[in-house]
Amino acid sequence: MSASVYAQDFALTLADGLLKTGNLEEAITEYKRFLCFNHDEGKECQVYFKIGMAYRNDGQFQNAINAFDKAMSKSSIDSTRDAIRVNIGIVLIVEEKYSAAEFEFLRVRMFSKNSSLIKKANFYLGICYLYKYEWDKAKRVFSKYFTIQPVNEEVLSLFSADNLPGNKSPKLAKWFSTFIPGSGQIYGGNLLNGLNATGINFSLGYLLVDSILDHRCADALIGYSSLFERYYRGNRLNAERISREFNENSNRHSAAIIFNHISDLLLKKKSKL
Amino acid sequence: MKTHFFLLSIFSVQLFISSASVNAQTNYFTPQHILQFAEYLYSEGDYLRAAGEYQRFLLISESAPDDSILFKIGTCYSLGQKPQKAIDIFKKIINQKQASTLRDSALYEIAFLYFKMGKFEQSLNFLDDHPHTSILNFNKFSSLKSINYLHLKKWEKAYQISSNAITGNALSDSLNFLLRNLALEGSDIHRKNKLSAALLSSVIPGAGKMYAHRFNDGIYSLITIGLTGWQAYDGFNKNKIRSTKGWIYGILCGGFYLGDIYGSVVAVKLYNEKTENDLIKKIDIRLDLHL
Repeated sequence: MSASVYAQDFALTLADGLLKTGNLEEAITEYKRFLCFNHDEGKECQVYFKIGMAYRNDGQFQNAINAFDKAMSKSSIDSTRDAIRVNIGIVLIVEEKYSAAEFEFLRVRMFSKNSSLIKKANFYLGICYLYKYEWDKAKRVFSKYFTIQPVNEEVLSLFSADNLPGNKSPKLAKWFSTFIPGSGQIYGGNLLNGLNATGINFSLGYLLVDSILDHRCADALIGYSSLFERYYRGNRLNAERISREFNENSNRHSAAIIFNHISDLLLKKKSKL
Repeated sequence: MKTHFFLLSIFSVQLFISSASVNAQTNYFTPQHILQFAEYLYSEGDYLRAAGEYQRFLLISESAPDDSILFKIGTCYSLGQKPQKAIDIFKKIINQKQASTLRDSALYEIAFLYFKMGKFEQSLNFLDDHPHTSILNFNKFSSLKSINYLHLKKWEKAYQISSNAITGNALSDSLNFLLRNLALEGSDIHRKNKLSAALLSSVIPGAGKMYAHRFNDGIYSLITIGLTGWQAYDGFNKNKIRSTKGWIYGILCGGFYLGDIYGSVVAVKLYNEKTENDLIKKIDIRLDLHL
């Protein structure tokens, strides 16, 4: 056995061991040491992939993606490249870059010839749609993933109208508050903010109208420019913001519930296998 | 426990490999290979890991510490965004008993790191306390001093230093020309006077703010003070000194009036700061393009 083979084996064994024991930075160093002295393309791909996993587990997501990219560039086998692409997508999901992740999974789904990879990509694509709140697309993807009854029906029921959030229209909220200050906030689910806006705007409006009716133009002008205009404009903007926040919170909550259910179904499916 | 066992087994493997490599005459952990690996990491842009390997090389190699390796470690820390560690390493080079050939370069790197950290005074003090040894570095050091003075808004000093540079190669000449121009630009900045702003606002409310290029604020102040003043006048005119309306609007008007004068002074201060900071930004962009 030549010395270089001793060395290769030692570096990789050490790196793998360090990775297993959670010494991620040290493992990356040893993998890179291997790469420095060995230029076997097949092994390089594997090692870059492991570096990517170590970076991912260490929370260094951009470095993980860079390593996965290098791993892809070192492999000419389509299925390997697709498997790496799925891992890039997973890192992107963790980073909450759902659109970029969706792109990776769509590529695998469209061009891969490996059915198990396509299935995996489909599952993660569903997760992307879930967190992008594209319920119909998520439903379609997950119902194709969980084909066996009664699991399929269970998945479909997760996306029924009862389980999905009823979104508020920010535009409508703004218009509500344009005509009746505070009503948009109440529509958006924030009663206290709405009542506060109603009270302030009606009081200031009353003073303004009273000044105009009494022909106290200067009072009206001061009241309008210094207080009324500011509160009225704020009331309309707040109504829009509150509706947006309501939608975001309820969508995120629903996505989390559906995700937990799907995780349970996946665990059941695996345990049956 | 599991980890300890693992590490022990790793060390025993390493011992075996080392003994095997005596016969084979090579393994990953010879000084030469460690250095090769450090260079590889450096070329890959993994600077902090490279710094670790250069340090490992220094520990393992039996020869005396090599300045060039220390300098590389410092550069790695500098490029790896660890300026304080880089400074500590560069200081090791300049504090060595035997004068190092890299002393001037280490001095420059330390001063440059202080500059990059925004510690312009410290950078200048360091350069003054540690004069460079080679005349060849005169322009390089004076340019850095001049850049520091530009950031401290000491335009004349910056101009003076860049003017004293020795004409030499085209690159340093053009840099000094640029620095002189920037210093001139800085000294030509038209600064507004705080006292003028206060006086203007005391005569015509809002005028001080307009002087500081805040036209909307100025008009708003003029209208607010004018209207409250008019209402105060109206109140006192109707009910003399017993007018509640007069007192309320009078106090409001007085508050707005004083606030406007103070606001004008602040507006001028902010205007001057913004103008100077805009120039500093321009300086950074131009120097980035040049350096």
